[in-house]
Amino acid sequence: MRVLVIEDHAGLAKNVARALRESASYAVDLSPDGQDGLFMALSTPYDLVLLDLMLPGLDGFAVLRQLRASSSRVPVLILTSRDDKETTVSLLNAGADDYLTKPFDISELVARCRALIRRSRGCATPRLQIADLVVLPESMTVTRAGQPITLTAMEYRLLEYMAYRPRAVISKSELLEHLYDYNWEKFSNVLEVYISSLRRKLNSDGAAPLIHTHRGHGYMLVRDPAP
Amino acid sequence: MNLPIRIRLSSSYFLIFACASALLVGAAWWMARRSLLFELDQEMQEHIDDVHDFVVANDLGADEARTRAAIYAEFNRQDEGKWLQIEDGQGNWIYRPWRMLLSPQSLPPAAFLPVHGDVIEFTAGRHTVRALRRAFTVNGRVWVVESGITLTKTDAVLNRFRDDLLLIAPLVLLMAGFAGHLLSRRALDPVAAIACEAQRIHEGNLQTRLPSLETGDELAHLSRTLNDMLERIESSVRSVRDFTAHASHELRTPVALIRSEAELSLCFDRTPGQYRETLEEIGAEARQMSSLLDSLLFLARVDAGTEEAQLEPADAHHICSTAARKWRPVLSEAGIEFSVELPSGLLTVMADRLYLPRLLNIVLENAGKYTSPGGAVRLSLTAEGERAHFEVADTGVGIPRQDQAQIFDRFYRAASVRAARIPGSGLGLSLAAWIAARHQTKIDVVSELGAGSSFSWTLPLQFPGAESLTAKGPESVAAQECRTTVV
Repeated sequence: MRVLVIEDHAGLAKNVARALRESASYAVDLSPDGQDGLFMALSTPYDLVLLDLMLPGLDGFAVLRQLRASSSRVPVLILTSRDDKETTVSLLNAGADDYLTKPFDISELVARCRALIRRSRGCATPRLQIADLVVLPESMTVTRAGQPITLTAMEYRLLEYMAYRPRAVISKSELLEHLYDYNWEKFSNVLEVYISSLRRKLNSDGAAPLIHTHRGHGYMLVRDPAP
Repeated sequence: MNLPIRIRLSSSYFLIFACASALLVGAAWWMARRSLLFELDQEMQEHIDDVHDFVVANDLGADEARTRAAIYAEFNRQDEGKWLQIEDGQGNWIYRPWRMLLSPQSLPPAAFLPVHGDVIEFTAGRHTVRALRRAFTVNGRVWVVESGITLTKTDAVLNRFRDDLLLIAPLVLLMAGFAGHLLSRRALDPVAAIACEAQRIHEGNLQTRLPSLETGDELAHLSRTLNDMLERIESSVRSVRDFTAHASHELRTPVALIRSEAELSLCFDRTPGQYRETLEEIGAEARQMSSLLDSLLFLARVDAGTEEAQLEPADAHHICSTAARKWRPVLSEAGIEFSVELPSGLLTVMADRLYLPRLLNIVLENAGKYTSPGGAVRLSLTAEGERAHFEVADTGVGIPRQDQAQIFDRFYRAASVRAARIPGSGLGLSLAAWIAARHQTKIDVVSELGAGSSFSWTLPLQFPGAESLTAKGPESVAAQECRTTVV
């Protein structure tokens, strides 16, 4: 999952990014300016946008309105110090999905981000299950047939993304767009390395393969691929 | 009197109208009576003139019998309420009508009568009579003539006229009272409407305005005045709200940072180096927050009106050198060249001993913040005529022209400064402007984007004469300046 944090306070933005990377294994981009943030949000398919209200360039409200005016469907979580009812109501009416008042609890922020992404993926249960594979985003743990599997952060990020869309063919470019932030070097063969190591870990004791390659199209996470 | 203005207005209108109509009725009756009586008097004068002309024409008077006979023949007829009595100067009757025989009363002697006659009124039988008595002399003989008319007809006419007036006056009065009531209602209804609208306005809907009347009268003026007042109240409430929103943003963001910093570092095990970094970050943020709190509290006191500058003679030289000592290490650490130009002698200015250093600190702090390493900051104090001139100039980022007017606004920070991620709350210069205003001066800003800024202000010198001893114009200042350069 890839998240955009539009927040002008550098220290806070850095901490939020770190929390999302460490506690949820998300790829995080930062923008300290409303105008740049809007441009980034419109040009990149983010899975979530965290938006501060008081921003230089373009204020958060305007960013939100323009985002929705361009019919962007990305979930938006507002981070702000204003907690009056009118602001809350008008923000939600303008298309915000959730709202968190500063100062906030970092674990609450991460939980809300997770919930927003889960909802935007059309999923209600916090447990992702494909056959005997279980992915728990809450604790970033993966088990297969009850046996815990240890994954690196990048492997987990890849598996979680695919687990939200089981039985769908996910193209390589889509994976690249959603798993890496701007600072990453994008080499597509790096992705293949992760896929193969993930395959190896998931099928360690000779279980049925779950990740299938559709040559020229992408990858699919499913137990019995359609013929 | 606590009656509603509407009732007071209509009742006073009614009273004034009643008095006016009573006066008018009285005056009309009196004038009618006067005209009628004047006409009667004229008729009686003519009557007496007739007697005179008759006497002259017939040359009467010498022969008593002929005179009586001629006058009887001429004047004795049906009198229709008018009659004559004629007497000679000695009180002997020459002519008397039958009416007067009932109440024999002699006429006054000719000498007592005025030239134009004398009017009297008396009662004869059932009638009131008005009579004119006049004397004249023909052929050496005195004639005293009385012409009289009964007032029966006149009285009847006057009484009828009075009755009509008394009937019409209350009717007119009633109509006038009703009209007055309607008028006052019509005039005061808009006031009631304005009051009703004004009652509905409270803190939550201050943007509503009273209906503006297009009549151009006093009420339109009233509603316009109230609307202007609402405008002012709304703008001050809005500025309070803005201030609160800004202040809460400025305070909550650092708190959010401190919390997230602590929570993040407790999430997983960290190395001692990472913990140290976290604590340093928290410490720095807390320091910035406490200086922000100081500024906010100062502004709150300014708004509450409890902060007042105490202007007293202060040594400007000392204040500047103290500020320079404080900022020299800070600026030198930031790699900025700091030069101070002070006159050698004393410069005593009228200033507050706490606020003037604070003003210098704010401007110097800004100069340091917005100047990159390798740049220069210059603090100078000079005497110019009767005023001391303070200036802090830097070679920093400069202020864009469109932002220069707003830099003294609370919480205002130029977009370029925000983008450059230079910390600050946007309160410093608003405090500086307040301090300058308390010293009856104004901060002048000269700035060019990318080339630097200069902030300067002047204060009146306490002993302008003494200035010649210490500083003799700009050249001598340059010669005497004690220049300090720290790199």
